Amino acid sequence: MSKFSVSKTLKAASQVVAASSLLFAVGCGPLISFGDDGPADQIYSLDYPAAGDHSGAGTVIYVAEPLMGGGLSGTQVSVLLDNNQRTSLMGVRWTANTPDMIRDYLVRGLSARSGALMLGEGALDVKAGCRLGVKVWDYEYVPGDSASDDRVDVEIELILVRYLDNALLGQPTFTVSEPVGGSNEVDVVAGFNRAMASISRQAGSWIGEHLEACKL
Amino acid sequence: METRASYMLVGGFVLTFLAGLVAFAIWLAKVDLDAEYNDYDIYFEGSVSGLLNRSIVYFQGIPVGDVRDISLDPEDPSRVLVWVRVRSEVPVNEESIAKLEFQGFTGVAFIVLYGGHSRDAPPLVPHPGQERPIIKSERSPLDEFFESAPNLVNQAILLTGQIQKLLNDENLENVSGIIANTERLTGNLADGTEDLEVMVAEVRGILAQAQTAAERITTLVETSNAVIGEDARQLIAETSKTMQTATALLERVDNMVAANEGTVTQFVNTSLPEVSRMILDLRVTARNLSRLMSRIEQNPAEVIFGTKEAEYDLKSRKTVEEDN
Repeated sequence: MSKFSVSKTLKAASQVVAASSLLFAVGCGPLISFGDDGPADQIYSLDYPAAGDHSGAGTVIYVAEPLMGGGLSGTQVSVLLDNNQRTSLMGVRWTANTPDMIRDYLVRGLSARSGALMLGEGALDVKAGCRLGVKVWDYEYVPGDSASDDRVDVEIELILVRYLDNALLGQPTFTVSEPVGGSNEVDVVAGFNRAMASISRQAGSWIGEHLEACKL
Repeated sequence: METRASYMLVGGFVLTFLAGLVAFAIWLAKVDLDAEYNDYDIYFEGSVSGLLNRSIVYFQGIPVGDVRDISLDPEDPSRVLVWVRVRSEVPVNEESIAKLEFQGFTGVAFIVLYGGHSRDAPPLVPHPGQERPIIKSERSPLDEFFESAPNLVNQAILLTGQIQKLLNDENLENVSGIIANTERLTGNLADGTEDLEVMVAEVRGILAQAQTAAERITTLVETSNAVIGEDARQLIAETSKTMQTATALLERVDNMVAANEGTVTQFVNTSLPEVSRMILDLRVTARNLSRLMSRIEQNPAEVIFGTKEAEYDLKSRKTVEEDN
């Protein structure tokens, strides 16, 4: 078989595969969801605080990727109903996965309030004095009997470990329950922002007490 | 014939005899007509038994006066007032002290003056309201002794009782036993000395054996040194060779590290933290993959096509079923 005939055969085969794939996709249309025909989801982001400049402070802390509690990960806005029933908010999504959002928020918020240089995903190879593990236990919208009872619950546990000797410097848990104060998704997102700001203030103050232990 | 007496002669004789009698009396009484005396008062605390009128007052062992009168102090009957007369040439001043002494144990008391040798001391003069100057007094040692005698007697009685307890029959038997044991011990020691020569001879024998053993040990050590020396030389040679090899290896490692110091430092400073964090991320990833594989194994369609789940509608405030 000559080179010309081989390439011709391969080209014909690839065209057959492409046609088959197209037919499969069209045929499976009713089976595989490609999205509904309803209105597009509203996409929201957290209001990240301004970062502080602590590059010369001497204390560098690496913020690890948060470990999320059950049902809290993803881009959907988690909703906690009665009897521990969980669902998500219809028509509303976050711009990024919640672990990434929470981590970015903590990096900025803690850096601004604690006086330490907090490192996130972008500074993987920078030498740090401590590692801040994050465990998110609650990060959800909790509807009440009426709109005035709605609230946003956030509970985050921080684990501060010194790299030098792997010593556990502290493991506090910060809990905030913030009233939503409205009946639409903008109010819910604003509740998440206020809750995260409160958590950031508390955690930043706690990190500030351990600056010496994490100095390089 | 009537005797014709010479009145003149008789009268002269009588007068001469009387004058001689007076001179003799004066001589006999040792009356010092030329002496001048000063009177003093002395107050003694307590008894002055043995002291009488005309008892002697001594100064430096010389009788310099006598006691004129003894009476109780009208203001304090516990004190005795003694009026003495002392020759004027005796230095009596404010520093002079009178003490009652006794001549042996006969009970005859006399007064001794001492002190007052300082020429700067002021002369003793009667104070206002006093008839005569007063010489200070102090108690005599004998007087103090007699005063404390009752206590001494009590102590002696107590001591006697203790000694009696100590020397009871049982203790005396024990002491007798101790003495007997001591006697036996000393006897044994005396007998033991008879065996001393035998013991010395045995020691000499032991020392001779020890000397022989030492000589043998020396010979053994010398032999061992010779044997070990050969093996040791070989061992040292091999050790030296090994050390040279190790040194060369270390030099090579050292050179390699020196040549790559920058790279090593960079690795330690930058890559190690990255590796550490990467391990953490890999751990999370591995856990997620494990969870995904479990879901695929349990229900592959759910992974591919998703699950039917309800969503919460803010407007209706209810959950809405939705097919994915």
